[in-house]
Amino acid sequence: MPGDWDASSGPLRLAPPEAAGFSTADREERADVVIVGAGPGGAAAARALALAGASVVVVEEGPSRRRYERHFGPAMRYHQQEGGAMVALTSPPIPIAAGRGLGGGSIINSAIAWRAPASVLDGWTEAIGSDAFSSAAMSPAYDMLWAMLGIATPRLDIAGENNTLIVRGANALGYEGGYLERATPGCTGCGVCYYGCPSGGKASVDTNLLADAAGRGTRIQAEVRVDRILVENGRACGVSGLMSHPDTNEPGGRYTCKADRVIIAAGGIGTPRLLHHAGLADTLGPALGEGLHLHPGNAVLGWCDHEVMLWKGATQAAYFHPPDMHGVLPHTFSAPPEALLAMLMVTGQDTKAALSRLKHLCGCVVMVSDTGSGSVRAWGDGRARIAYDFAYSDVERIKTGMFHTARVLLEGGAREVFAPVHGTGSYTSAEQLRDALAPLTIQDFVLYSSHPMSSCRMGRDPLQSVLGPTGECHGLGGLFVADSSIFPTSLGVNPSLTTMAMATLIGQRLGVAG
Amino acid sequence: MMLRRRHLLAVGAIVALAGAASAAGVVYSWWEQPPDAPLRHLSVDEVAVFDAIAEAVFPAGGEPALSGREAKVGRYLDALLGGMIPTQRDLFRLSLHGLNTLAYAQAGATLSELGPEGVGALLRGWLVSSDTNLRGIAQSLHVFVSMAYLAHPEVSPVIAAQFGCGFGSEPGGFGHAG
Repeated sequence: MPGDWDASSGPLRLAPPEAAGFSTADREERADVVIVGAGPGGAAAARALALAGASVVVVEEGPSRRRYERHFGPAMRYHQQEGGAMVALTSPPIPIAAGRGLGGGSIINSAIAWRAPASVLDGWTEAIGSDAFSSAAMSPAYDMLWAMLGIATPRLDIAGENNTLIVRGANALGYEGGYLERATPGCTGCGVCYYGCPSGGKASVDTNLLADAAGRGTRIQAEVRVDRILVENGRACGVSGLMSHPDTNEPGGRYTCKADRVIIAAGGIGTPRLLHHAGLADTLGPALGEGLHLHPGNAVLGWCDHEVMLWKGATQAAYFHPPDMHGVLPHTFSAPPEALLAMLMVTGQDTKAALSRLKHLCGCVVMVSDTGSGSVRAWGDGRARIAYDFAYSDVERIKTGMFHTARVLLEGGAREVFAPVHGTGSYTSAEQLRDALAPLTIQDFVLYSSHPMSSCRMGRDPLQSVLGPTGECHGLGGLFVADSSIFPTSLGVNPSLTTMAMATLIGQRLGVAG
Repeated sequence: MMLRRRHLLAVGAIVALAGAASAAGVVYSWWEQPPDAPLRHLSVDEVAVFDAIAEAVFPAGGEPALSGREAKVGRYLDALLGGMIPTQRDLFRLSLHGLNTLAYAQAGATLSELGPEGVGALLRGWLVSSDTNLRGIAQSLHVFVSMAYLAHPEVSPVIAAQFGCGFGSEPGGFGHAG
């Protein structure tokens, strides 16, 4: 029974829940609370509300059934928002990954788990004028999730050489670092978390929070792209959208769910995109979609004499903190061969030769807690329209982080290092890479993001924020947000666990308030 | 329509992460299509351009021996576009025409008219161009072409020795998406 779980029971591992899916017929239902988004935020809020006895419906854009695809392309098509083609239109463009389906981002992430730094939560308490998400308030939710998701460092036999190389290099240099704690209690180390876990070892939220909520009566409607927030008498009272076939995008019937309260948990891009597309920009105020942070990152790679196979072992399972730097987090990455070949920029027979050499690559991505920011709107066809402005200081911090990462790679066993940055080459010392990066601008970099946040931020002032400390929007009663878009500032660490913790608190408080 | 900077950015964007690669079920068995089979989204000329790029990135010989043209990369991409929403599809094709026009301006022939060495020389230049958008488009097309090539059932098993989780003997990995 779902109700039997407590922290002493060990990780909660359930079968993914059943969900209604695509149909050409219209469908309508009713609930106390309707939640848009079945990812970490939506699942956590749904479970908290279900525990409080509320009738809950979760509406999800993505497929009703998860599917492990063995190749990069179809995997992204099936389990990423907008087919994996969401990009911040800046120079250089920044691709942004965001998951879809039951489990949302937790289907395609590496399950890295960090509690928010106390300094960040202190700043948020000040920003929102409430201790609703202080360290003390968040701690019980973090503790519960830590136990439920089975968060731990990887077993050494599946850690993988790329991760071990980083730990070895960081330790040798005296840098703080080690293996990352991840929500992967059954991990077998196959290194393709971003395809969707093939072994079932990852604690994606469909197998715990969402399944538990479903076991308590929560209904799930997938394959619906919500495009309307229903409003009556000045309050949100439901959502509506067209069903969409998960493989062909074929439109189906219209789905409507009426409810006393509406929670949007579609993620740092999906939530502001939806609210703009639904025509609520004037209602929700000028902060809607503003303040987007991305945690942009750039890779540093190395060639080793020994075989590394950076795609084998626990995905993204090692990190270090560069000395005297805040908000820069280098950690390992994995990538499919087509992405690695593009980083090498080879053609002709060199491409085929490179295929056999990829196993000697090691790599680490340098992620920055950005002070630069952007915005999210919606194009006419409903896709996300994303802009972003870099801050000069962020670029300089990325460069310094790359220098330290090169040091770690070389110390850990790489023979030479390089970065997919225009105007640079391969180097046998970190200082050479640092000197090559020094004159370059952000346009020379190849950046990537999988942590969109802060685009519907929480705060006191309706002109500067979208919602208050309860999670309810300033401009529209009955409308709540519970995902990473509510973060008042950039978090600085992987956001999934903090999203779940905040959504749990929002759901609990809403459940108590009735 | 006048092309503005934001259009170029959008083109770069659509291909920036070739993961955009929304293959969907319709990609299934692209390698089995006869040469005269009808195309879904691309023209014959557009497929020829993709095949020319694929041949330059993956020439015949070596390991795996199959060439990019033999792998029918153009047909893979034709099917792949079926999983995209129309505006994404248009941007993808626009990027292709942009590169083909640039090839004519730089080399006096389109990509499908140049041989693999000519296309390879252009591509290598674009991959290290000082123009961010050109570089991004070229890198992204490189990923798309590689994605198609590596998914071919004659190629996938060859590299499965390294990439065991993602590759294997199943045809292209699209088996249950059909």
